[in-house]
Amino acid sequence: MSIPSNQGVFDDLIHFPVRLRICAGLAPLQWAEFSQLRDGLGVADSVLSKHLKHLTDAGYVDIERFIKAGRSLVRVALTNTGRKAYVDHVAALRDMLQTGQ
Amino acid sequence: MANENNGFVAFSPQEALAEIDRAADTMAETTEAPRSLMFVLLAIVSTALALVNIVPWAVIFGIACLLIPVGLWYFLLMRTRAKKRAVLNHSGPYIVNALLLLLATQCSRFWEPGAWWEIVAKWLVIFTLSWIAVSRMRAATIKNRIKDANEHSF
Repeated sequence: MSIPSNQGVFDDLIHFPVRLRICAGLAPLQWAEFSQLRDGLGVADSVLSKHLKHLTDAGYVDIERFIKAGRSLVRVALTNTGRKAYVDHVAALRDMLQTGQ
Repeated sequence: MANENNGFVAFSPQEALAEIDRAADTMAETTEAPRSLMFVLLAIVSTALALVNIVPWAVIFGIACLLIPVGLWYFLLMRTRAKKRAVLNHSGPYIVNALLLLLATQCSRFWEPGAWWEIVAKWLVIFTLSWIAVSRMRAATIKNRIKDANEHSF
């Protein structure tokens, strides 16, 4: 039986709705291309870019630009720090739900 | 949950967790093989199993060769999709349904149809049981991946 590895720590940066969805969307993935994330979350390019910038500045998300078949692509992934912060945040939300806060 | 000023009107952990589940489920779903591919794969396997001992082995081999373009389809399709995060353990429901799939395909060998309608009936039974098992395995995989992603940071 697996035991969650983290204690709940509420993270204000992740808590913003769009950023929470970005982190939740990236969590079960190793990486996603920018367009895949945009389509999956159903947000505009500008909105996604803005919030990814916040997450990148905090060191939660890693953005890699590369060229495939002559096309410039952007690959997005959660960093180890981002993954830990996200898992802690989810644990904090669950704690709050259990304690009825 | 959000407004223009600070992003929040009234915070509800339940709503936030539901939002997390929706976003994670949508993205995890896009990394799995599509149902159309599952349908074609199971149709080929069911046809081969329904015709075992009825037609020559060369025909069965010919039907099995159809799995090559399906494999190619899968390979090309997965190249255009987001890369899934590896999960070390499969969940209990996944194992149970994998065993059900194995049982259904192996037990089908004992049913030797004597007429064409029986072949059709055998195909339908194998396909239906396999579809149920594979659909449940797919759902269990996605659920397990989301659970792992929300609980483990390594």
